[in-house]
Amino acid sequence: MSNLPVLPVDARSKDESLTAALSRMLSEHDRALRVSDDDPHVTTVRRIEAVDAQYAPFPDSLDPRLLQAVSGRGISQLYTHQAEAIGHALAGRHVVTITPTASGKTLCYNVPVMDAILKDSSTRALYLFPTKALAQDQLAELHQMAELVGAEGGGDIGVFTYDGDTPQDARRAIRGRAHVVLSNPDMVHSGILPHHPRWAKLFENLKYIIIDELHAYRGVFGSHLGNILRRLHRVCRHYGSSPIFICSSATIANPRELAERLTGETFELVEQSGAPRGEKYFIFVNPPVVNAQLGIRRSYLAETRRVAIEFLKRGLQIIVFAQSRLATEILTTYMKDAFAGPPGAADVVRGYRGGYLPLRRREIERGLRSGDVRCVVSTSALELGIDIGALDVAVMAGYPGSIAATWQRAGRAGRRSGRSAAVLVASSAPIDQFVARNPDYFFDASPEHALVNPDNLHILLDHVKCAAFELPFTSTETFGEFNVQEMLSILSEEGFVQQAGDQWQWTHESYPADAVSLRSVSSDNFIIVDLTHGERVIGETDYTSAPSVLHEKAIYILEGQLYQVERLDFDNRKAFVRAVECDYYTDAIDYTKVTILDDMTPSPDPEANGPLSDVHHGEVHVVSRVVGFKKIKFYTNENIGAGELDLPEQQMHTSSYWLTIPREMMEALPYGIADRRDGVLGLAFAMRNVAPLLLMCDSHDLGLSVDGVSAEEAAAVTAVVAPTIFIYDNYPGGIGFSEPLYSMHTDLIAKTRELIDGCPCQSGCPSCVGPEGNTGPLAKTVASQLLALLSAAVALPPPAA
Amino acid sequence: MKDLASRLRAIVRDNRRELTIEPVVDGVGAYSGASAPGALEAIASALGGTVVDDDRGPCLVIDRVYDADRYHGRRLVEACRVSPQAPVALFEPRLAPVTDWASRVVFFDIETTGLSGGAGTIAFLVGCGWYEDDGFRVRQWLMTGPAGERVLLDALARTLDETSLLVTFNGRTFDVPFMDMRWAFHRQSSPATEVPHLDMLPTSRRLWSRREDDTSCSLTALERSVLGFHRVGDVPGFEIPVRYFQFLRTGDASMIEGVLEHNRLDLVSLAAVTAHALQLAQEGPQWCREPSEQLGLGHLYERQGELERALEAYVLAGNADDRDLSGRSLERQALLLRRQRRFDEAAVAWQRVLDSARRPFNAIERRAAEALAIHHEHRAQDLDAAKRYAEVVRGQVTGRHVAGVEHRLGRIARKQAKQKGDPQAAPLLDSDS
Repeated sequence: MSNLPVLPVDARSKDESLTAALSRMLSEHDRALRVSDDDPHVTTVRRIEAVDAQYAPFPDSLDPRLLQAVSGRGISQLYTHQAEAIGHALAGRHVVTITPTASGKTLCYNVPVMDAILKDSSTRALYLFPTKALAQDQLAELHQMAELVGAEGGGDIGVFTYDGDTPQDARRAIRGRAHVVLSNPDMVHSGILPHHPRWAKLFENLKYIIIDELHAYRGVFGSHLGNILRRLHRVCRHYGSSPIFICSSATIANPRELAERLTGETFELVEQSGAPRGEKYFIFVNPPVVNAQLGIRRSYLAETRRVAIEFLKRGLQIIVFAQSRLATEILTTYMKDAFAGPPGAADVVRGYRGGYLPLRRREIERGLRSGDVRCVVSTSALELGIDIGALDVAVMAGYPGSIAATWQRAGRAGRRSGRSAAVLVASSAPIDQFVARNPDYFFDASPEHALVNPDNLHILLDHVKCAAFELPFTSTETFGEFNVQEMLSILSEEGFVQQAGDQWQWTHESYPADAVSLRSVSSDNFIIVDLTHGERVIGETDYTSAPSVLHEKAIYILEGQLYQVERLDFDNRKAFVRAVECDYYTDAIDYTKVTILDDMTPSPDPEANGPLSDVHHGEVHVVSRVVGFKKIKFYTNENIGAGELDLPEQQMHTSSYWLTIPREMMEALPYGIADRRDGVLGLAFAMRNVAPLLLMCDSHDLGLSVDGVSAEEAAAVTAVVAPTIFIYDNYPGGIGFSEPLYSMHTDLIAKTRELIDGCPCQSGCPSCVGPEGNTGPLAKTVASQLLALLSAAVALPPPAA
Repeated sequence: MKDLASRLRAIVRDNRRELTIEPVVDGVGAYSGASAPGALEAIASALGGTVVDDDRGPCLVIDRVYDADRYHGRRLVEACRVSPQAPVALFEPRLAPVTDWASRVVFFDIETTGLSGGAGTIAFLVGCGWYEDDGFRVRQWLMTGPAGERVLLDALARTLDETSLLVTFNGRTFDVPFMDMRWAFHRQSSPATEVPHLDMLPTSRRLWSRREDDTSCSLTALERSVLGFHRVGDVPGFEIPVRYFQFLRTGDASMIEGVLEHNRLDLVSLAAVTAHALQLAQEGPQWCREPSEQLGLGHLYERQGELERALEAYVLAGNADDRDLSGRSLERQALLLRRQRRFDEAAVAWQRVLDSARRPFNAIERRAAEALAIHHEHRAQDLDAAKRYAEVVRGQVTGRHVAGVEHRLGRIARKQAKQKGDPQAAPLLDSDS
């Protein structure tokens, strides 16, 4: 491959380059339609029209110094959504605004905040960002605004970040001097709320709380934030303030509901953006089938590489999103191979993901803004609003798992004017194939709901302890809507609190916030130490994923450089790696076992679930362990070896949906034990992939385990057993997917049947019951028959073929 | 399905970490333990205190007087009284402009439910000690429940209003900021910030810290080493929060009695240690038992600009048998002399460091040799001696220090050549700054 052409200098030549690349794809699209191929390569091309800006004037009541400062930045009027959001905030109403990329969301909150500070210099505001990096990003902008306002005679407005990186000796000054504190939920949780007396000035004068990237607070993280905000409310009440919330969110189905669930307040919703948008093309690419019999498609990573090169060699700046760290590293390697510049030249292709050290990340972000980096391959880490400038094309290797995330990633390409494109390359995963074959599902369906469950008992209990530490509960107090009195008396049995008169006093030595991590099961992480040239820390990874990526002999990839793990020091949370040259990567094999703890199914309802099938939901204990790994060759994806591992198991208590296939139904199948087993595994594989569509949740939010079908069990037990399929919340304590899934059981079976029976493959493929090599020759047939029996069992009319 | 309570209980127990003392949780309820009806009076009488109550809630006040003619270790209680002439500014320069500090000196120490200083940690016991005509009075306020804190803080505020000097041990870092936090919790400004404050910890470190062992400077270590006082059955610090929680749950005054005694002894010892340190400073280095005290005193004098007394202290400490201690003292002495431009005397002090030096040199000995090289090159103009010292230095250094020594040796050589009138010698371009 040659070097990159010169960067097109103006917007027009960029548009032309993009048009050239697109027309090549479009002609493929036309060709596919002409030959009426039933498996087109480009399955859809949508043109999303440019939209003109809609303007509105600044509200009259704003401080003239603020207007001067803003107009100094060339802003003389607002977009309609900004004006609407600012209007609500000024009137004291909580507001959440849907803000697509580059729609000027920061003005929605910076204007009311600066206005309030100008009118009363004791006013304080707290900004929450999901990550430290985002706070740093906004700091520069706020500083600039504070300076402009100051230059207009607005006095000294203090804007500071306060997070884990803030030096100890600077903290006291910030507590006293900051009008605006930029922080994150973790710091509010462990550094600010437990020390609220030191922050008395902030809490007494807290007028606005800004929650940026509201949609990021779903699942576990959102459930934690909901409780942190309950604690914040109590503290504000103690100091006599009742702040107004201004939130911004990417497009999700339920922004208002999410904001209300998180804060416990009633919200106004601003959803119509007045910002202009350039023309955008959205293209779905399905890699061609290379083996019709096995239903095997060309590797979506190779296809992504091909698509990305098409744009890159025309001088366009692109971002490639991959679904996992591993895929990110593989794609980075592919792209670097394709665009290796002259030796010693700066890299034009960079990888980007969590686990890179902050300095390296900042360097890549700068490179993207300056244009020195032409292509970045990233995980979802760059999906959030880190400022990387406007890119020309976003290529997604695999469906991001949700409609909201797909739009968010697509939004990384595109300016306010001019053309941009987003390309989705489908993998062979069932959900990808469903989306690629049914583009209307994507373009017409509502985006996902962001679900949170602040009343998850594990999470709630942790925060009730923190809250009791911060301010004694009274004997009539609730926590949000939750009645905590019973919880407090149980905490008092264990000595955490003591009831004295009408108060619950904290009577424990611990600092409860320390025991809670908002992001994962455990606050632990693993450090990766490179031994190639002395000892050097090159990255880190969280506790949960460490066993699968850092086991001994694993190939760890960092920006295309391969390292082999020489030793995993589990107790000290360190992995020692050494740079290697090899042509394969590793993929961990894990083993999961689910035990039912508490069946919370309401009394059997034969009407709903049928007389034969056995459907439940409840609490379960999940034990998972990485038991081995496969070596997989780059490019060809051949399996070239394997190894066994002995690693500690990881456990969690969560909630689950489960389906037990009755013994009678298994016995009725006219197949051998092994084939029946394959059928159950294939069915489970398909159900687990359909469930996220029904729940409108992320695929990673669910886990799958099938009981009663392992090879040993099948060998030992000659009698027919009743296997159980568990689809569980992939978070300790559960975040509320299991009960809805239970109630959608009928639909789950019907949709799974549609997927399997509608799949063009002969005997199973990765897009329905799993690849034939993994299951068995009859997996698809048996699964299909099982579904027929299960559908009959739920006494529904058979779904249309 | 399990009921909520048993699920909660399972989660709480699952997360329970090891406790230092297994809590007693019997008789849990709104009015059990220390806040049970009638419990307060029983506790007050067991602890020998009285109940202070207003509409906000009760707290206990316990007073003890240590008679003036009693001994605390080797020191008479009466002899711990701080005289208005005591040189407190020597220990705390910020007190220098304060003239009326002596009218009511209050020793101050708190016991808390944790060290984090978070909102959920309280100072459940606040102790103050001051001199009255007949002896040393210790007054303690004890919270028997959260409602008593406002009463306690008000009482403490009144005491602080009358205080002319607050004396603590580590109070600048811990006790005072902790109380500031409690006042802030109740949305009040702290009365403690206005009161002149002498924290005895930094001074104690100067006088009595053993380098190798930081625990040598805890108050209990000092009362043993300085006062010759040995506690019997003292409650160790880490047990204090747990004992207090037990007391709250059970109302058992015996759980907390030892903590009250611990706090009282801390206050008496603080007064005695302060008195001893002030006496050392007043009497001067001749009165010290240890050369390390003399060196520490020297630092304090020097900081306050009492240079002759500082020098006297350094000279005495410089005679110590301990090579490390005498080295440090002689270095301070030499530096002070040099500052006073008494170069020859400084050189004598440096030379004494080298006289007892052993190889390899420690940092002080290396600096002494360097200083002597400089002295002989620039002041004494004895290039041969300067060269000898510089060569000694070169034999003792590695790494980045080597280049500097080589540089000096080169320059000395050039100067020597020039003195001998060698026309080949390079011109003299540099000197020590």
